[in-house]
Amino acid sequence: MSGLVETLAPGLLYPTGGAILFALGLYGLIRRHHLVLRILALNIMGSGVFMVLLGIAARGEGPPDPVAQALTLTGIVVAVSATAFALALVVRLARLTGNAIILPGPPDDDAPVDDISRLEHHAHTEAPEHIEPTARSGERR
Amino acid sequence: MNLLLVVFDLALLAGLIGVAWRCLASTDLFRAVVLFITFGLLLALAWVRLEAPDIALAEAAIGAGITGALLLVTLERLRVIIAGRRSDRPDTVPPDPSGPGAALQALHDPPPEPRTRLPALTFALVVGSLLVTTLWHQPDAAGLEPVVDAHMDASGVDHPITAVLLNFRAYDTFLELAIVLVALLGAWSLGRHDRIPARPAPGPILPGTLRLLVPVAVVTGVYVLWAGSHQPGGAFQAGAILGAAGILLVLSRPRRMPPPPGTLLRLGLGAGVGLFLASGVYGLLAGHGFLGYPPGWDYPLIILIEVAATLSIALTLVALFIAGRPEGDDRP
Repeated sequence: MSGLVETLAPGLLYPTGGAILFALGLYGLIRRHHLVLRILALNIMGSGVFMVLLGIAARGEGPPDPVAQALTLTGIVVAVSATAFALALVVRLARLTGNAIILPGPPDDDAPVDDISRLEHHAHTEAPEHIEPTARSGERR
Repeated sequence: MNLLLVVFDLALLAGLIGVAWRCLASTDLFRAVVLFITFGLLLALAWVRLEAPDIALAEAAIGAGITGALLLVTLERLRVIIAGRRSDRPDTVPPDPSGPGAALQALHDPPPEPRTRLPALTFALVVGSLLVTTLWHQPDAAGLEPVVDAHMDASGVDHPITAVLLNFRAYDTFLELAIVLVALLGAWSLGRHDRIPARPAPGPILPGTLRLLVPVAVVTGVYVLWAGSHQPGGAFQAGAILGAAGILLVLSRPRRMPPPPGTLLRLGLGAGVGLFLASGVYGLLAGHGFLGYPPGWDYPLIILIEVAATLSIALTLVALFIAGRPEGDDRP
Protein backbone atom coordinates (compact mmCIF):
# COMPACT_ATOMS: atom_id res chain seq x y z
CA MET A 1 0.00 0.00 0.00
CA SER A 2 2.82 2.41 0.82
CA GLY A 3 4.27 1.73 -2.64
CA LEU A 4 1.02 2.86 -4.21
CA VAL A 5 0.94 5.99 -2.06
CA GLU A 6 4.54 6.68 -3.07
CA THR A 7 3.69 6.29 -6.76
CA LEU A 8 0.69 8.62 -6.59
CA ALA A 9 2.64 11.55 -5.17
CA PRO A 10 1.29 15.02 -6.08
CA GLY A 11 4.40 15.60 -8.19
CA LEU A 12 3.22 12.88 -10.54
CA LEU A 13 -0.55 13.04 -10.11
CA TYR A 14 -1.02 16.73 -10.84
CA PRO A 15 1.14 16.92 -14.00
CA THR A 16 -0.89 13.97 -15.30
CA GLY A 17 -4.11 15.79 -14.45
CA GLY A 18 -2.74 18.89 -16.17
CA ALA A 19 -1.99 16.91 -19.33
CA ILE A 20 -5.54 15.49 -19.29
CA LEU A 21 -7.01 18.99 -18.87
CA PHE A 22 -4.85 20.22 -21.76
CA ALA A 23 -6.09 17.41 -24.02
CA LEU A 24 -9.68 18.01 -22.91
CA GLY A 25 -9.42 21.71 -23.72
CA LEU A 26 -7.91 20.87 -27.11
CA TYR A 27 -10.82 18.53 -27.87
CA GLY A 28 -13.32 21.22 -26.92
CA LEU A 29 -11.45 23.84 -28.93
CA ILE A 30 -11.68 21.68 -32.06
CA ARG A 31 -15.28 20.60 -31.71
CA ARG A 32 -17.21 23.59 -30.40
CA HIS A 33 -18.19 26.48 -32.66
CA HIS A 34 -19.29 29.29 -30.37
CA LEU A 35 -16.34 31.62 -29.86
CA VAL A 36 -17.03 32.11 -26.14
CA LEU A 37 -16.86 28.33 -25.68
CA ARG A 38 -13.60 28.27 -27.61
CA ILE A 39 -12.17 30.93 -25.31
CA LEU A 40 -13.24 28.77 -22.34
CA ALA A 41 -11.50 25.79 -23.96
CA LEU A 42 -8.30 27.81 -24.38
CA ASN A 43 -8.47 28.86 -20.74
CA ILE A 44 -8.86 25.24 -19.66
CA MET A 45 -5.81 24.33 -21.76
CA GLY A 46 -3.93 27.13 -20.04
CA SER A 47 -4.96 25.86 -16.62
CA GLY A 48 -3.63 22.43 -17.62
CA VAL A 49 -0.27 24.01 -18.44
CA PHE A 50 -0.22 25.83 -15.08
CA MET A 51 -1.01 22.55 -13.34
CA VAL A 52 1.90 20.80 -15.08
CA LEU A 53 4.25 23.64 -14.10
CA LEU A 54 3.18 23.73 -10.46
CA GLY A 55 3.07 19.94 -10.19
CA ILE A 56 6.65 19.64 -11.39
CA ALA A 57 7.66 22.52 -9.09
CA ALA A 58 6.27 20.56 -6.13
CA ARG A 59 8.35 17.44 -6.91
CA GLY A 60 11.18 16.26 -4.72
CA GLU A 61 12.12 17.22 -1.21
CA GLY A 62 12.00 20.69 0.27
CA PRO A 63 9.88 23.72 -0.62
CA PRO A 64 8.54 24.04 -4.20
CA ASP A 65 10.41 25.93 -6.91
CA PRO A 66 9.52 29.65 -6.56
CA VAL A 67 10.55 30.46 -10.13
CA ALA A 68 7.92 28.12 -11.58
CA GLN A 69 5.33 29.58 -9.21
CA ALA A 70 6.21 33.15 -10.19
CA LEU A 71 5.97 32.15 -13.87
CA THR A 72 2.51 30.71 -13.26
CA LEU A 73 1.40 33.87 -11.47
CA THR A 74 2.56 35.89 -14.48
CA GLY A 75 0.76 33.43 -16.74
CA ILE A 76 -2.57 33.83 -14.91
CA VAL A 77 -2.52 37.61 -15.28
CA VAL A 78 -1.54 37.37 -18.96
CA ALA A 79 -4.33 34.81 -19.49
CA VAL A 80 -7.00 37.10 -18.04
CA SER A 81 -5.79 40.02 -20.20
CA ALA A 82 -5.79 37.90 -23.33
CA THR A 83 -9.24 36.54 -22.44
CA ALA A 84 -10.62 40.04 -21.95
CA PHE A 85 -9.22 41.16 -25.31
CA ALA A 86 -10.59 38.04 -27.03
CA LEU A 87 -14.02 38.66 -25.51
CA ALA A 88 -13.92 42.27 -26.74
CA LEU A 89 -13.16 40.93 -30.23
CA VAL A 90 -16.10 38.50 -29.98
CA VAL A 91 -18.47 41.33 -29.02
CA ARG A 92 -17.15 43.36 -31.96
CA LEU A 93 -17.66 40.42 -34.32
CA ALA A 94 -21.20 39.94 -33.06
CA ARG A 95 -21.91 43.61 -33.65
CA LEU A 96 -20.66 43.34 -37.23
CA THR A 97 -22.06 39.97 -38.31
CA GLY A 98 -24.93 39.30 -35.94
CA ASN A 99 -23.55 36.21 -34.26
CA ALA A 100 -20.53 34.86 -32.46
CA ILE A 101 -20.39 31.42 -34.00
CA ILE A 102 -18.04 30.32 -36.73
CA LEU A 103 -19.68 27.41 -38.47
CA PRO A 104 -17.35 24.81 -39.97
CA GLY A 105 -16.88 24.06 -43.63
CA PRO A 106 -18.65 25.40 -46.69
CA PRO A 107 -22.38 26.08 -46.29
CA ASP A 108 -24.93 23.52 -47.55
CA ASP A 109 -26.49 24.23 -50.92
CA ASP A 110 -29.91 24.85 -49.42
CA ALA A 111 -28.59 26.82 -46.46
CA PRO A 112 -29.19 30.58 -46.52
CA VAL A 113 -26.16 32.77 -47.10
CA ASP A 114 -26.98 35.19 -44.29
CA ASP A 115 -25.28 34.53 -40.97
CA ILE A 116 -28.34 34.62 -38.74
CA SER A 117 -30.42 32.44 -41.02
CA ARG A 118 -27.48 30.07 -41.39
CA LEU A 119 -27.32 29.77 -37.65
CA GLU A 120 -31.03 29.03 -37.49
CA HIS A 121 -30.65 26.46 -40.22
CA HIS A 122 -27.80 24.85 -38.33
CA ALA A 123 -29.63 24.88 -35.01
CA HIS A 124 -32.75 23.47 -36.62
CA THR A 125 -31.45 19.90 -36.52
CA GLU A 126 -31.74 19.72 -32.74
CA ALA A 127 -34.32 21.76 -30.86
CA PRO A 128 -32.55 23.36 -27.92
CA GLU A 129 -34.07 23.26 -24.48
CA HIS A 130 -35.85 26.25 -23.07
CA ILE A 131 -33.43 28.80 -21.64
CA GLU A 132 -34.35 31.60 -19.31
CA PRO A 133 -32.73 34.93 -20.05
CA THR A 134 -29.85 35.56 -17.67
CA ALA A 135 -31.01 39.03 -16.72
CA ARG A 136 -33.79 41.35 -17.69
CA SER A 137 -32.76 44.32 -19.65
CA GLY A 138 -34.84 47.06 -21.10
CA GLU A 139 -31.87 48.62 -22.79
CA ARG A 140 -30.68 48.07 -26.25
CA ARG A 141 -28.22 49.91 -28.28
CA MET B 1 2.19 11.42 2.63
CA ASN B 2 -0.74 9.30 3.50
CA LEU B 3 -3.55 7.49 1.84
CA LEU B 4 -6.14 10.13 2.72
CA LEU B 5 -4.24 12.82 0.82
CA VAL B 6 -4.00 10.58 -2.24
CA VAL B 7 -7.76 10.05 -2.09
CA PHE B 8 -8.21 13.83 -1.83
CA ASP B 9 -5.91 14.42 -4.81
CA LEU B 10 -7.72 11.87 -6.93
CA ALA B 11 -11.14 13.26 -5.99
CA LEU B 12 -10.04 16.83 -6.70
CA LEU B 13 -8.55 15.92 -10.09
CA ALA B 14 -11.64 13.88 -11.01
CA GLY B 15 -13.80 16.86 -10.02
CA LEU B 16 -11.68 19.27 -12.09
CA ILE B 17 -11.75 17.06 -15.16
CA GLY B 18 -15.47 16.39 -14.74
CA VAL B 19 -16.36 20.07 -14.38
CA ALA B 20 -14.15 21.00 -17.36
CA TRP B 21 -15.85 18.31 -19.43
CA ARG B 22 -19.35 19.44 -18.48
CA CYS B 23 -18.34 23.03 -19.24
CA LEU B 24 -17.06 22.24 -22.72
CA ALA B 25 -19.90 19.85 -23.53
CA SER B 26 -22.61 22.30 -22.53
CA THR B 27 -24.88 23.74 -25.24
CA ASP B 28 -26.06 26.54 -22.97
CA LEU B 29 -23.36 29.19 -22.68
CA PHE B 30 -24.57 30.59 -19.37
CA ARG B 31 -24.23 27.16 -17.84
CA ALA B 32 -20.78 26.75 -19.38
CA VAL B 33 -19.62 30.02 -17.81
CA VAL B 34 -20.96 29.08 -14.37
CA LEU B 35 -19.18 25.72 -14.63
CA PHE B 36 -15.99 27.54 -15.67
CA ILE B 37 -16.15 29.71 -12.54
CA THR B 38 -16.58 26.53 -10.47
CA PHE B 39 -13.56 25.11 -12.28
CA GLY B 40 -11.50 28.14 -11.27
CA LEU B 41 -12.43 27.76 -7.60
CA LEU B 42 -11.56 24.04 -7.62
CA LEU B 43 -8.28 24.96 -9.28
CA ALA B 44 -7.48 27.35 -6.43
CA LEU B 45 -7.90 24.37 -4.08
CA ALA B 46 -5.45 22.36 -6.18
CA TRP B 47 -2.87 25.17 -5.98
CA VAL B 48 -3.14 25.15 -2.19
CA ARG B 49 -2.49 21.41 -2.27
CA LEU B 50 0.60 22.03 -4.42
CA GLU B 51 1.98 24.45 -1.79
CA ALA B 52 1.38 27.50 -3.95
CA PRO B 53 -0.79 29.83 -1.83
CA ASP B 54 0.19 32.85 -3.96
CA ILE B 55 -1.18 31.20 -7.07
CA ALA B 56 -4.28 30.06 -5.18
CA LEU B 57 -5.01 33.66 -4.14
CA ALA B 58 -4.50 34.88 -7.70
CA GLU B 59 -6.57 32.07 -9.19
CA ALA B 60 -9.52 32.67 -6.86
CA ALA B 61 -9.45 36.43 -7.45
CA ILE B 62 -8.46 36.57 -11.13
CA GLY B 63 -9.11 33.16 -12.67
CA ALA B 64 -12.51 32.60 -11.10
CA GLY B 65 -13.61 36.10 -10.05
CA ILE B 66 -12.55 38.60 -12.70
CA THR B 67 -12.65 36.18 -15.64
CA GLY B 68 -16.11 35.07 -14.52
CA ALA B 69 -17.37 38.66 -14.39
CA LEU B 70 -15.86 39.35 -17.83
CA LEU B 71 -17.53 36.25 -19.30
CA LEU B 72 -20.93 37.02 -17.76
CA VAL B 73 -20.97 40.61 -18.99
CA THR B 74 -19.89 39.42 -22.45
CA LEU B 75 -22.80 36.96 -22.58
CA GLU B 76 -25.20 39.75 -21.66
CA ARG B 77 -23.69 42.02 -24.33
CA LEU B 78 -23.96 39.27 -26.96
CA ARG B 79 -27.59 38.64 -26.02
CA VAL B 80 -28.50 42.31 -26.35
CA ILE B 81 -26.61 42.70 -29.65
CA ILE B 82 -27.96 39.58 -31.31
CA ALA B 83 -31.51 40.10 -30.06
CA GLY B 84 -31.32 43.70 -31.27
CA ARG B 85 -30.23 42.65 -34.74
CA ARG B 86 -32.96 40.06 -34.98
CA SER B 87 -35.64 42.58 -34.08
CA ASP B 88 -34.35 44.82 -36.90
CA ARG B 89 -35.37 42.18 -39.40
CA PRO B 90 -39.14 42.09 -39.84
CA ASP B 91 -39.12 38.65 -41.50
CA THR B 92 -37.73 36.89 -38.44
CA VAL B 93 -39.24 36.09 -35.07
CA PRO B 94 -39.08 37.01 -32.13
CA PRO B 95 -38.85 40.76 -31.73
CA ASP B 96 -38.86 40.68 -27.92
CA PRO B 97 -35.20 41.14 -26.88
CA SER B 98 -35.76 39.73 -23.40
CA GLY B 99 -37.76 36.75 -24.61
CA PRO B 100 -36.41 33.23 -24.37
CA GLY B 101 -36.08 32.95 -28.12
CA ALA B 102 -33.57 35.78 -28.26
CA ALA B 103 -31.52 34.40 -25.40
CA LEU B 104 -31.62 31.05 -27.07
CA GLN B 105 -30.06 32.31 -30.27
CA ALA B 106 -27.34 34.34 -28.65
CA LEU B 107 -26.37 32.11 -25.77
CA HIS B 108 -26.68 28.73 -27.36
CA ASP B 109 -24.20 26.65 -29.26
CA PRO B 110 -25.59 23.79 -31.32
CA PRO B 111 -24.07 20.43 -30.40
CA PRO B 112 -21.06 19.58 -32.60
CA GLU B 113 -21.55 17.36 -35.62
CA PRO B 114 -20.77 13.66 -35.03
CA ARG B 115 -18.38 13.49 -37.99
CA THR B 116 -15.77 15.64 -36.21
CA ARG B 117 -15.76 13.44 -33.12
CA LEU B 118 -13.29 10.77 -34.24
CA PRO B 119 -10.53 13.02 -35.65
CA ALA B 120 -10.77 15.43 -32.70
CA LEU B 121 -10.74 12.57 -30.20
CA THR B 122 -7.73 10.93 -31.87
CA PHE B 123 -5.81 14.18 -31.98
CA ALA B 124 -6.53 15.07 -28.35
CA LEU B 125 -5.72 11.53 -27.18
CA VAL B 126 -2.40 11.48 -29.04
CA VAL B 127 -1.37 14.89 -27.67
CA GLY B 128 -2.52 13.98 -24.16
CA SER B 129 -0.76 10.62 -24.01
CA LEU B 130 2.45 12.10 -25.43
CA LEU B 131 2.35 14.72 -22.70
CA VAL B 132 1.69 12.15 -19.98
CA THR B 133 4.53 9.86 -21.10
CA THR B 134 6.95 12.77 -21.26
CA LEU B 135 5.97 14.04 -17.84
CA TRP B 136 6.20 10.62 -16.20
CA HIS B 137 9.75 10.15 -17.39
CA GLN B 138 11.06 13.51 -16.24
CA PRO B 139 13.82 13.22 -13.65
CA ASP B 140 13.22 14.75 -10.25
CA ALA B 141 15.06 18.02 -9.92
CA ALA B 142 15.14 20.62 -7.21
CA GLY B 143 14.69 23.28 -9.89
CA LEU B 144 15.86 26.77 -9.05
CA GLU B 145 14.77 26.66 -5.41
CA PRO B 146 18.33 26.34 -3.95
CA VAL B 147 19.59 29.19 -6.15
CA VAL B 148 16.74 31.49 -5.10
CA ASP B 149 17.21 30.49 -1.48
CA ALA B 150 20.93 31.30 -1.62
CA HIS B 151 20.32 34.80 -2.93
CA MET B 152 17.34 35.79 -0.80
CA ASP B 153 19.40 38.19 1.32
CA ALA B 154 20.29 40.17 -1.80
CA SER B 155 16.67 40.55 -2.94
CA GLY B 156 15.44 43.12 -0.44
CA VAL B 157 12.30 41.12 0.47
CA ASP B 158 11.62 38.01 2.55
CA HIS B 159 9.13 36.17 0.32
CA PRO B 160 10.78 34.08 -2.40
CA ILE B 161 8.02 34.58 -4.98
CA THR B 162 8.03 38.36 -4.59
CA ALA B 163 11.84 38.23 -4.82
CA VAL B 164 11.61 36.30 -8.11
CA LEU B 165 8.84 38.49 -9.51
CA LEU B 166 10.29 41.89 -8.70
CA ASN B 167 14.00 41.29 -8.48
CA PHE B 168 15.44 38.10 -9.98
CA ARG B 169 13.01 37.94 -12.90
CA ALA B 170 11.84 41.55 -12.95
CA TYR B 171 12.08 41.48 -16.73
CA ASP B 172 9.18 38.99 -16.96
CA THR B 173 7.03 41.04 -14.64
CA PHE B 174 7.79 44.24 -16.51
CA LEU B 175 6.79 42.67 -19.83
CA GLU B 176 3.70 41.18 -18.20
CA LEU B 177 2.52 44.61 -17.09
CA ALA B 178 3.15 45.80 -20.65
CA ILE B 179 1.00 42.94 -22.01
CA VAL B 180 -1.85 43.88 -19.67
CA LEU B 181 -1.65 47.46 -20.93
CA VAL B 182 -1.51 46.34 -24.58
CA ALA B 183 -4.59 44.15 -24.08
CA LEU B 184 -6.47 47.18 -22.79
CA LEU B 185 -5.26 49.31 -25.71
CA GLY B 186 -6.48 46.55 -28.03
CA ALA B 187 -9.90 46.53 -26.40
CA TRP B 188 -10.05 50.34 -26.54
CA SER B 189 -9.11 50.35 -30.20
CA LEU B 190 -12.31 48.42 -30.95
CA GLY B 191 -14.41 51.47 -30.14
CA ARG B 192 -16.15 53.42 -27.45
CA HIS B 193 -17.77 51.41 -24.70
CA ASP B 194 -21.49 50.89 -24.54
CA ARG B 195 -23.45 50.95 -21.33
CA ILE B 196 -23.28 47.77 -19.32
CA PRO B 197 -26.49 45.96 -20.25
CA ALA B 198 -27.33 44.14 -17.03
CA ARG B 199 -28.38 46.45 -14.24
CA PRO B 200 -29.42 45.29 -10.79
CA ALA B 201 -32.91 46.13 -9.60
CA PRO B 202 -32.96 49.31 -7.48
CA GLY B 203 -33.34 48.79 -3.76
CA PRO B 204 -31.69 49.46 -0.41
CA ILE B 205 -29.79 46.16 -0.20
CA LEU B 206 -27.19 46.71 -2.88
CA PRO B 207 -26.00 50.20 -1.81
CA GLY B 208 -25.91 49.04 1.81
CA THR B 209 -23.90 45.94 0.99
CA LEU B 210 -21.54 47.96 -1.18
CA ARG B 211 -20.99 50.48 1.58
CA LEU B 212 -19.80 47.60 3.75
CA LEU B 213 -18.04 45.56 1.10
CA VAL B 214 -15.96 48.10 -0.80
CA PRO B 215 -14.03 49.47 2.21
CA VAL B 216 -13.35 45.89 3.34
CA ALA B 217 -12.10 45.06 -0.16
CA VAL B 218 -9.84 48.12 -0.19
CA VAL B 219 -8.37 47.29 3.23
CA THR B 220 -7.89 43.64 2.19
CA GLY B 221 -6.24 44.69 -1.06
CA VAL B 222 -3.80 47.04 0.64
CA TYR B 223 -3.01 44.40 3.28
CA VAL B 224 -2.37 41.73 0.64
CA LEU B 225 -0.07 44.15 -1.18
CA TRP B 226 1.82 44.93 2.04
CA ALA B 227 2.00 41.28 3.08
CA GLY B 228 3.60 40.38 -0.26
CA SER B 229 7.09 41.34 0.92
CA HIS B 230 7.24 38.61 3.57
CA GLN B 231 4.40 36.13 2.99
CA PRO B 232 1.99 35.06 0.21
CA GLY B 233 0.44 38.09 -1.44
CA GLY B 234 1.62 40.88 -3.68
CA ALA B 235 0.75 43.27 -6.45
CA PHE B 236 -1.27 40.92 -8.68
CA GLN B 237 -3.51 39.55 -5.97
CA ALA B 238 -4.01 43.02 -4.48
CA GLY B 239 -4.73 44.47 -7.91
CA ALA B 240 -7.32 41.77 -8.56
CA ILE B 241 -9.08 42.40 -5.24
CA LEU B 242 -9.18 46.17 -5.81
CA GLY B 243 -10.26 45.58 -9.41
CA ALA B 244 -13.14 43.40 -8.18
CA ALA B 245 -14.24 46.20 -5.85
CA GLY B 246 -14.10 48.60 -8.80
CA ILE B 247 -16.18 46.25 -10.97
CA LEU B 248 -18.79 46.03 -8.20
CA LEU B 249 -18.98 49.82 -8.06
CA VAL B 250 -19.26 50.14 -11.83
CA LEU B 251 -21.96 47.46 -11.98
CA SER B 252 -24.12 48.93 -9.27
CA ARG B 253 -23.95 52.68 -9.86
CA PRO B 254 -23.09 53.25 -13.51
CA ARG B 255 -25.18 56.40 -13.84
CA ARG B 256 -24.34 58.34 -10.73
CA MET B 257 -20.63 57.76 -10.97
CA PRO B 258 -18.89 60.40 -13.06
CA PRO B 259 -16.16 59.00 -15.32
CA PRO B 260 -12.65 59.81 -14.13
CA PRO B 261 -10.78 62.52 -16.05
CA GLY B 262 -9.13 61.01 -19.11
CA THR B 263 -5.60 62.17 -18.35
CA LEU B 264 -5.72 60.90 -14.77
CA LEU B 265 -7.11 57.56 -15.91
CA ARG B 266 -4.36 57.13 -18.48
CA LEU B 267 -1.72 58.08 -15.93
CA GLY B 268 -3.05 55.45 -13.54
CA LEU B 269 -3.21 52.79 -16.24
CA GLY B 270 0.37 53.42 -17.30
CA ALA B 271 1.81 53.98 -13.81
CA GLY B 272 2.98 50.39 -13.28
CA VAL B 273 4.82 50.03 -16.57
CA GLY B 274 6.09 53.62 -16.44
CA LEU B 275 7.58 53.41 -12.98
CA PHE B 276 9.06 49.98 -13.67
CA LEU B 277 10.66 51.28 -16.86
CA ALA B 278 11.95 54.42 -15.15
CA SER B 279 13.60 52.43 -12.36
CA GLY B 280 15.00 50.00 -14.93
CA VAL B 281 16.52 52.75 -17.04
CA TYR B 282 17.91 54.41 -13.91
CA GLY B 283 19.55 51.11 -12.94
CA LEU B 284 21.04 50.89 -16.43
CA LEU B 285 22.47 54.42 -16.28
CA ALA B 286 23.75 54.00 -12.72
CA GLY B 287 25.62 50.86 -13.71
CA HIS B 288 23.47 48.18 -12.05
CA GLY B 289 22.14 46.82 -15.34
CA PHE B 290 18.65 47.18 -16.80
CA LEU B 291 16.05 46.66 -14.01
CA GLY B 292 18.83 46.41 -11.43
CA TYR B 293 18.30 48.22 -8.12
CA PRO B 294 20.95 50.37 -6.44
CA PRO B 295 22.25 48.64 -3.27
CA GLY B 296 20.14 49.42 -0.23
CA TRP B 297 17.32 50.81 -2.38
CA ASP B 298 15.83 47.48 -3.41
CA TYR B 299 13.14 47.27 -0.71
CA PRO B 300 11.72 50.83 -1.12
CA LEU B 301 11.86 50.55 -4.91
CA ILE B 302 10.13 47.16 -4.91
CA ILE B 303 7.36 48.50 -2.67
CA LEU B 304 6.97 51.61 -4.84
CA ILE B 305 6.78 49.58 -8.06
CA GLU B 306 4.33 47.17 -6.43
CA VAL B 307 2.03 50.01 -5.37
CA ALA B 308 2.05 51.45 -8.89
CA ALA B 309 1.55 47.99 -10.43
CA THR B 310 -1.39 47.29 -8.09
CA LEU B 311 -3.06 50.56 -9.08
CA SER B 312 -2.50 49.90 -12.79
CA ILE B 313 -3.72 46.30 -12.64
CA ALA B 314 -6.85 47.24 -10.70
CA LEU B 315 -7.69 50.10 -13.09
CA THR B 316 -6.94 47.97 -16.16
CA LEU B 317 -9.17 45.13 -14.98
CA VAL B 318 -12.07 47.54 -14.41
CA ALA B 319 -11.43 49.17 -17.81
CA LEU B 320 -11.34 45.75 -19.49
CA PHE B 321 -14.65 44.93 -17.82
CA ILE B 322 -16.18 48.13 -19.19
CA ALA B 323 -14.45 47.35 -22.53
CA GLY B 324 -14.01 50.34 -24.77
CA ARG B 325 -12.80 53.87 -24.38
CA PRO B 326 -14.53 56.05 -21.78
CA GLU B 327 -17.63 57.97 -22.73
CA GLY B 328 -17.10 61.62 -23.63
CA ASP B 329 -13.51 60.90 -24.54
CA ASP B 330 -13.02 62.38 -27.95
CA ARG B 331 -9.34 61.93 -28.39
CA PRO B 332 -8.31 59.61 -31.21
